[in-house]
Amino acid sequence: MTYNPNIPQQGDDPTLSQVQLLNNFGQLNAQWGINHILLTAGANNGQHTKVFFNAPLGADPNLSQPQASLYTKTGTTGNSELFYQNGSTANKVVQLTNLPAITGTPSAQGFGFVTPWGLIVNMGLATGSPIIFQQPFPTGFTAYTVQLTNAVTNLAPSSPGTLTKTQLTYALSTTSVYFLVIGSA
Amino acid sequence: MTFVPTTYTPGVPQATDLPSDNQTEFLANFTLLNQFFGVDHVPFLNGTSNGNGFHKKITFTNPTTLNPDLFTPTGIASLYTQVSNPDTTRPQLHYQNLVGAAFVSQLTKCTIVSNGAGGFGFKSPWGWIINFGQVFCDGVSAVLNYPVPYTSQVYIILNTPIYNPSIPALKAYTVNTSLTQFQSIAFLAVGINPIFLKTFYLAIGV
Repeated sequence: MTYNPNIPQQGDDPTLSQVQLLNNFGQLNAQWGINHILLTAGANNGQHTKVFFNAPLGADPNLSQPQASLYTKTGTTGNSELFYQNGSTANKVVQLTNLPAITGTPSAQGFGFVTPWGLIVNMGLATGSPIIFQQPFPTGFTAYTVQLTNAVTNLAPSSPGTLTKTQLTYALSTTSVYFLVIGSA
Repeated sequence: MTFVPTTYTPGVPQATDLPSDNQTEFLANFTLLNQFFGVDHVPFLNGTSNGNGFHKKITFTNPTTLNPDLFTPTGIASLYTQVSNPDTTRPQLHYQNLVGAAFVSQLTKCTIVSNGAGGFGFKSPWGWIINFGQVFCDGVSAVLNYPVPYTSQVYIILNTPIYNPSIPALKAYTVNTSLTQFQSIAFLAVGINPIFLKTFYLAIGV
């Protein structure tokens, strides 16, 4: 018997409603208890035991702050991934699990990542200077670190040169290097 | 027309009430329970079937101003939002699993500490302490005091000096490491001390 939100109606005989009332109270406890402490528990009432997400959302909730939302959407893997949004626009969304690698930016090398921790990471193998980033940094970003390791030569380590939000130059520009650039998002 | 309450009424029925006296409250309560539960969950009545108790999403309405500071017994944990640095305008996701600020992890837009001289550090939610940034040298070496010191182990230090491209045969190594600092020393391949400007570093530990 399914939960009935429309009982009792005016004119219903209370004795006839007894089965419906009993069923509703039972369903409330059972369904609540899937992810929460059962209503019949003697302690920790109102708390969660776990969180099942029923299905990935088709769109971000777009709630206005100070509301925020934790939810799942289908990621690039095709699986449900965890997302968090703290504003009403798409740029307030961060993906928390299985961060997708950004590739395909024209002339860019390596891989780019937008992390939920307030960091943008570009890394990979560059075959020459300048390195165009797959994921540009925002205007006015803070460069936290730049790491270069020669990939195919026995020369001295390459040295970082000019760093902008879209690219990095480096000395020994004919040398292939593994690079890691971390900056603020 | 019968008045049907639009707010949940927890105080029904009273001892002296006839069941019929509370019909409107019963009806409103069952309707609102289904409606309110259905905001973040599959509703109790899902179409023509019972719901499964699962969440659709979790909406955090108001960020907390204080950490939950959980109580005994241990094992209770909390996921919540709080407005905190570096973004003081938007709620960020936090997790706490024991009493005390040391057991709070900021899961989004982590609070990054600056030493005011190009160095930054933060405690990541996955257990690592990460320090990174730039440190200027005194000509041959550079010493960095971590903005966020380690407590037990430094796993790795990466160190990329910035030097004059006209003397490219320069190498660098890392010495005098501790939980609070490291020293980067640069030299030319032939053993002559060069002048390098600064070094970018990345240190990971716990």
